[in-house]
Parts: sequence; C-alpha cells; structure tokens
Amino acid sequence: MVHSSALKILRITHAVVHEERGSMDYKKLDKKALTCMYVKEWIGSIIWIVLLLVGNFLLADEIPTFVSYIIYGVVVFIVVISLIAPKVRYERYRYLLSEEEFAVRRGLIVTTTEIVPIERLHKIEVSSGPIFRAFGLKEIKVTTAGGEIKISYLTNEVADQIAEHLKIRINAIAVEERKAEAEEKMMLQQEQVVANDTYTEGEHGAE
Amino acid sequence: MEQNRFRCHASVIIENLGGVFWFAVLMLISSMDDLDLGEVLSLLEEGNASAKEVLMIVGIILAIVLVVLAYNWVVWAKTWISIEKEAIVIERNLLNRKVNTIGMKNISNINMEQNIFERIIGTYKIKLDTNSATTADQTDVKIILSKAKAEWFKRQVMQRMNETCEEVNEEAVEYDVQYKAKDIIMHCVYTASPGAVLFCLAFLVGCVVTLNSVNTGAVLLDGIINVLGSLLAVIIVVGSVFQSLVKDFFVYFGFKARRQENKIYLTHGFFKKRQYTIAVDKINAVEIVSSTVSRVLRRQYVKVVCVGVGDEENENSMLLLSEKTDVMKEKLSILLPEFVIGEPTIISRHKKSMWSELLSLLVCFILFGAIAVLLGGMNVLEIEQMWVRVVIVIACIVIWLLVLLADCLSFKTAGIGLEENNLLVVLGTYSKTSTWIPYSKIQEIEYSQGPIARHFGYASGVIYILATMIDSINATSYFDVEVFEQIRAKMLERKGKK
Repeated sequence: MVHSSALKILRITHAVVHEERGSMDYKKLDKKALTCMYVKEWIGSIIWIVLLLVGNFLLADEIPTFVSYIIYGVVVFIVVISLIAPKVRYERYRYLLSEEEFAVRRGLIVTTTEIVPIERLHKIEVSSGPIFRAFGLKEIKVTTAGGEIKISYLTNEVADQIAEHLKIRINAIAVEERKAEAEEKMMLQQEQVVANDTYTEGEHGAE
Repeated sequence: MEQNRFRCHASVIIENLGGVFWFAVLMLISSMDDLDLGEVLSLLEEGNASAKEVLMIVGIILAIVLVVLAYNWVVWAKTWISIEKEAIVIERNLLNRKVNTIGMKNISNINMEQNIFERIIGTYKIKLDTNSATTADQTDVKIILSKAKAEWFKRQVMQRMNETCEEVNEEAVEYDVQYKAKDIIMHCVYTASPGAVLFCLAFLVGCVVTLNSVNTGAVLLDGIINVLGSLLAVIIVVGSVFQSLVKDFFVYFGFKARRQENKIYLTHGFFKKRQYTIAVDKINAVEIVSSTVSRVLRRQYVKVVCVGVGDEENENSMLLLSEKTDVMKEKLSILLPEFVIGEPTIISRHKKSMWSELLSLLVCFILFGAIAVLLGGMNVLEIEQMWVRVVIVIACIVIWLLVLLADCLSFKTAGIGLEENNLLVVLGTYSKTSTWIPYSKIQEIEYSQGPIARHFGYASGVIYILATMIDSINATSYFDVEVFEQIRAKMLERKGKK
C-alpha cells in the first residue's frame, strides 16, 4: 500500500519534471528553496493538524462519530499534501529575467505564468522574512500601474543580482525611449521643414 | 485672482457636514417641536428627574451639532491650497500638520462637477486624479470653489501641465457629438436590464387590466379606493425598478462631446452637471458594450477606461451613447481616431476548452438532478400537492438548461483579436463587451492552465491595465497558449528597442 503510494508520488513528480524540461528559458530555483518550501508547508500543516485534533478531542462528546472520521480524513489529506505539494511546487516554479521582461511561472495543480515588461516597473522591493533568512533566501516584489508580481525563494545573491539588473535596465530603457522620442520629434520637424519648403517653392513657381 | 494661496469656498463646510449632522439636527428640531419648554422648566424647578433627562438629551444633541459645525469650520479655515510651478500643495494645519503635494506631471484628469446645491450657490467641485493604481478607485482631491475661481484654477493647473485651456463659452462652442432627449430615452431602453423591462411591462399590463375591470364593473367609490391603494403599493415596489430605467436619462441629459487637440471634453447631467476633460494619452482602453436588449436590437455604447473618469459612485466614463455600429464607428473616428476600430480576425475559443467547463456543468447537473429526484420523485419533504412537485422538477430542468445555455453563449461570444497596435478582448454571456487595449497600455499579463488545459495546450488569461479595480482586470476566456505568447511579444515592443 505504502509502496504503491510512494510510486504514485514519484510518478507525479517525474511527470512534472519532464513537463518543465521543455521551457528552457526559464530558470529553476536553488535546492535551498525546496527545503524552505517543505518547512513552510509543514509549519502550516502542523498548525492545522493540531487545531483539528484538539478540536476533535475537546468536542468528542458533542459531535457525531462520522464527523470525527471526516476530521481524521482531512488530517491524512493534509499530511499527504504536505509531503507532495512542496516538491511539485518546486519543480514547477520557474522565473525568467531578460532584457525586456520579468516573468514567473508557479502553481500546484493550476500553473500560472505572470509576465511584466521591465519598462512598466514602478517599484522593486526585496524582502526576507524569518524563515527565508534562516535559509539565506529573499523575495522580490515588482509593482506596475496594473498590479504586482513576486518571485519568492531566491538565494540572496540571485535576488540582489536581479534587483540590480532591473534597476540598470529600467534606467537604460528610459534613456533608449527618450532618445527614440527625440529622434522621432526631429524627424517630424525635418518633414515639416521639407513640406514648408515644397509649399513655398510651389507658390514661387506659380508667381 | 492673482493670489496663489487660497481656501475652498465656505459652502464646503455645509457640504462636508455629512449624514450624522443632519440626523442630529432633525432629532433636535423634532424634539423641540414636541417639547413644551415652559412645562419642562416648571417641572425642572419642582425637581422632576425625567425633565432633567429630556433637557440633558436635547443638550447632548445640541452639543453634537455645534461640535460638528465647529470642526468643519476649523477644517475649512485651516486648509489652504496653493498652486506652485510643479505641484499643487494642500496644507491642513490642524493638530497634525498635513501637507499633500500633487505633482503636475502626475495629474491625469481635472474635472468639474456641480450638484443642485452647488448650482444654487454658484460653486463648482473640482476633481483631480493622479496616475496611480493605488488611488485609481477614488478621486484624489476634491476642491470646491466659486465658478470664476474654479475656471481660473483649472486654467492655471492645465497651463502648468503644459496643456492649453481656453476660456469656453458653453453656448457658443460647437460639439462633435450631441444627443437629443429622444436619443437619451432610447439609450435608457437599450441599456435596461431585461428583468427591469419585463417587470415594467407586466406592471403596465396589470394597471390596464385592473382599470379595465373597474370600468366594466360597478363603479363604486370603495372599489376605486381599493384599486388606488393596491396601485400605490405596486408603484412603491416598482419604483426602484423604474428608477433604474430613468436614472440614466438624468445622468446623460444634454450629453455633448468634442475633441480638441489631445483632449476630449464631455458634459452632461440634469441635476448634477458634469464636465470632464479626458487626456487622450491617458485613455488605457475603450470598451464597446452591447447590453442584452441592445445586442438583440444591434446597438452599442462606448466607454473609455482611464483614471479620473468613472471612479466614483454615480460616475460614468461614457463616450458615446447607444448607436448603430456604423454611426458609432463614424463618431468614434471623430472623437478618438487613435482607436480606429478595425475588423481584426477574431480568434475563437480553443475547441477543446469545453472540457474545462464540463466539470462545473456536471456538478450543476448532479445538484439539480438530486433536488429534482429527492423532492419531485421520492418526495422526501412529503409535499401533498402534486403540482408543487412538478413545478420543482420543471424548475430544476429549466435552471440547468439556462446554465448550459449561458455556457454555450459565453463560448460563442468569447474571442481575441490581435491588431497591429491594439488588442481586442471580447467577452459576454447575454451581453457583449469588446475591449480594445493598446499593447503599450498593458501593464502585465497572466495566463493559467489546469491539468486539462495543459494536456490540450490552452490557457485562460488576464490582461492588467491601469484603471479602477473592476476595469483594471480584463479576464479572457480559454485560448491557445500561442495567443498569449503573441500578446506577450506585442506587449514587449516599445520605442527605441534595440
């Protein structure tokens, strides 16, 4: 029974790994992130399990037996999920940082891909909570006028590099755009001058 | 007019008093009306405890009224507005000194509004909005000024924003689009909810039938009084439905719009007169909406999505009222040629995406099937009347069929169009909304895939733009992942890209 369940878990994770191999541009998180994910998941799970079991124990005389069985079922479900979910999440978690965009793909059952053009970034926030600090990890949150996206579980070095890269790119893009606008303006002015000259020549010709 | 530091018009004190103040005043007036002051005083001299209580309550209410009035007066007296070269500064020197500085370059809109009270007093409410996602759901600054000062303020701000703002003679200026009362009434009909229309029709039929029965029967005074009583009750019930139908008429009364340089000027309103100035470059999307009735009658209205217009209750960002498609396109090409509505190839929903909805349909089928079997077939509630059980079964079947119909309609309506500069997102079930979003205004995109969607290679997505909470999120239906990759590529194109 245990053997077949373990095989199933292995098969699921293998499928996820296989599925994610296709997206080569996206980077995978460091191994430290997996341990951190397990710790975070287990902390949450332990809190829920304790609450459910204590509640079940205290209300044992007042609730029907089938409710107790449901509670035990939920506890088993939480345990199974806390064993599988971090691994699946870790395998699916990908981020992408290019010259123009910042993207992240994550999820357990439903995978979500969020893409933000670096040009639209308003704010970059690098933070790290106590659990993240214990593992030497950080989280980057970028804000645009339409919302925000974050990449969690990045090692300190990678997070700092990404933040630095984003800052440099934002400035570079702003310079490129200003230059392009100035060129566009100049071209328009030149076109106007040419048009005016043609008009004046035409008038003189008519005279 | 020369001074650059000034206060709001004093009438702001009355406008800011709020419901609590007027409630307390009403309580005070009604209690004074009921009180015989001489009697209370004589009772007080006799040492009557209830007289003391009555006077204490009146005293507390009076104190609340005076405190609220005094607080608002102090707020008005201590609030100063000044226009500087690059910013508008609003200082409030109460116990805490608060200085609100709004950079001119961040101002997205400056609008003027007048409610009935302001029309009587001769003031205008100036509403300033900034390009900020965090404050997109509300007006950032509201200032009440006399008409002349409000116009001066608007000119000063627009000059500093490097915008031209000429003095406009409302009567003389020519508008590109104007609607007559008849057009506005028709717009109300086109945009009415089918439920409200059916309710009003049923009400009218009911009235005719009832009055007819009075005419044909014995005309007794009692009968008429009964009928009038019933009608009054029905009118009260129908009132709210009817109000929803006629409200738009007063909101859009005298709707006029004109385009001048890079601005669109809008004015409308019967009781509350609104004047909006929309900077074209601040428009983040254009919505073409066909409500259920107008979809059948082939009409559509146009809304603009931008910060500063339509972000408050009872505020709308309407650009064109209900029109036929060709007329709408013609008028839109005058007001907003940047959004020339083309005919892009609409990419339909991914054929296999029905699988993603099968689960919800199945749950719905099991739920209503179980209700029908348990209540109608097995009669677990022991309902005696057979017809009630039949109605329950029919209702379950009808509801499930409606859910199925809604699913099919939304499947048929949904689409995406990829134009050179704009993205078109079409959504709707009974109504239809086509949202045109310039790629340069997309702030972020997101697409999600569940296990079924991953298997078949489709995804559902969300396009985020700068707007109010509701308008900022433009959900799409299920499309091939490649469609989202194309949107991503278009979104990443920009000026000066190497």
